[in-house]
Amino acid sequence: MKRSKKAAASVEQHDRNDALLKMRFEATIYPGRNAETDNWANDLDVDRVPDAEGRVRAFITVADLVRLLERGLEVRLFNAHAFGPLDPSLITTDKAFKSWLNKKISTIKANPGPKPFIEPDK
Amino acid sequence: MYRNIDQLNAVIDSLVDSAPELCTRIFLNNSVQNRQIRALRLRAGGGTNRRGILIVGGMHARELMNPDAIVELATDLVAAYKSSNGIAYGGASWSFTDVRIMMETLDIWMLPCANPDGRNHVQTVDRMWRMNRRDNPGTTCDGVDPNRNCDFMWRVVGPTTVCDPCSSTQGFVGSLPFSEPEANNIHLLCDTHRIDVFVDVHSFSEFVLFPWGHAPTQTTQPLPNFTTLLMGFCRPLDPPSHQEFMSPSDKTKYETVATRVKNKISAVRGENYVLKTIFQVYGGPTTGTTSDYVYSRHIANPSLRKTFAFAFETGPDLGFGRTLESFQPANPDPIKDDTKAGLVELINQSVCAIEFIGTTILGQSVEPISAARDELLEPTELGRGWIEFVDNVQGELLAIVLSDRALTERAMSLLPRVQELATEREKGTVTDKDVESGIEFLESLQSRTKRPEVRDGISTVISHLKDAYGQTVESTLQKLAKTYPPKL
Repeated sequence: MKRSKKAAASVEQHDRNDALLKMRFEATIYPGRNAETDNWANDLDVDRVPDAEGRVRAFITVADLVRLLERGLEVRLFNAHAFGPLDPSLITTDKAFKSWLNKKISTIKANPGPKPFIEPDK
Repeated sequence: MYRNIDQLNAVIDSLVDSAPELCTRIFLNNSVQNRQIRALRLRAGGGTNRRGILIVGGMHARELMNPDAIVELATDLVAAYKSSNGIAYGGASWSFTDVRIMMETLDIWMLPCANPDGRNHVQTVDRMWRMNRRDNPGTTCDGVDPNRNCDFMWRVVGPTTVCDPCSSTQGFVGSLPFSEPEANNIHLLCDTHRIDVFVDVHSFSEFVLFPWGHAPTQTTQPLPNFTTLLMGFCRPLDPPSHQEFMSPSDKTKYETVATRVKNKISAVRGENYVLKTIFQVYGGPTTGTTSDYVYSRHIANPSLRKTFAFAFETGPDLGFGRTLESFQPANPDPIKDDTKAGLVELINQSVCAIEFIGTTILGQSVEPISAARDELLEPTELGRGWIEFVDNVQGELLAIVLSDRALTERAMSLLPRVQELATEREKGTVTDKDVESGIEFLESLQSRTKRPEVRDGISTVISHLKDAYGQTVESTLQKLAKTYPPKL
């Protein structure tokens, strides 16, 4: 009994570690004192995202974070996202989709359209 | 809310079923997981060799808004045309005449979801996934970035371009240029159809982008250009200081069209999109992209048609801590309206009245006329003002011409002579008969247009035409380029 509790705790710990390793953080990255060249941001090997102000911004994992810090770069973290799919509530239901599509298509079917300036090629 | 792959496909299928005279579906290469990839062509009426625009979305999986916006745009255009209505998104609008001219003079190609496997993966497994779902042999790492897989500066690495499939970058270039069907479909569409304008719609940051991506853009030194640079070796750009040439005329066109697109987006609800080159997005070389590839084709192979290639980054940067929401906002509707407005304006900007009459109806090249415009009007500010005036009124005037058979025939009879004069623009002189028939045609247009500022513009052109007897086209256009165009 004692052993199985221990095993369950171990599995739980393993799952937590796995989730942590897959977690991604929103980060901005700065050259710190050790930047060797002006092109320091060209080979960071991180998942860059656009930034309206031109900052070096990325989704990074824990492993990325350790690697960047070891390279002497400065990293600021802003948010953490667990690994997982898009929230299903953000996906259009088939019912809502069909209602939208039927409305659009009925408008299209109800109207003949103009006679084109140039007749279609036969 | 975001549609799934089946729903996006169902929109295309339903359009084709309900308006087959306007909508054609083609199946491209299947995705790496063997999903069908559909493209849709919108066109009304007849005429061969029309100008074409290709709109692509969903190349990057997590940028979810754009495939939805593109299928909605397709339904909006078809519905507007069929019901003889204009289109409006917020404060940005186009009249029915505008819609009609777009639908009847262009082939509007749409590839709403270029990377369906990636989209499905985002919706079922990992919402931050960006690439396709290639199972990279010999590794446990999946995915190739289709927007780094094109045959342009392929395997030149940079901030978002890598040769290691297991990199965190999500920018793996793939095993060969165009190894990925999702990227190869762009190549295929450009090879098999006439595409004059291209846009690849991404997210986010509110940018309207144009080439180059691999290096900063410059307009003074044509050589060395990208054709002489090393590629394919998984090395950074060499030399790192390289700047890629773009002709001043092309740069002006890019900036002019991008500004009009930006202004139309701003009219929706006030968002301020910024013009940039692709290189400026990450401040370093971005290679193997669809937009650079599509624009570079005519330089790499001069026998190919030039295609002006843009990219959008849709949606605002919501700030630190909200990056995921910037890609996938809970309510994407306002952003989709901005995107649709930008796309309609880009379609509108792709219309060329002279080319429609010359090439599509008469089957002749109008290249000499375009060249005269580019070389004689475009270099001066006032000349560019005249080009803008014509761009803004051409849809309205073309509709007047096409709705009256006699006027269409008069335009068709005038065009070959205009072409002849433009070809011999330094020597050929304008005759009495040219002046007379030109004025007669312009006065017919003038009497039918309702806007006073358009009538004023035509009056100015008529007065220049009256003075053109015995002159060359070059000197006449040079004089016009020193005159203020009417304000619209």
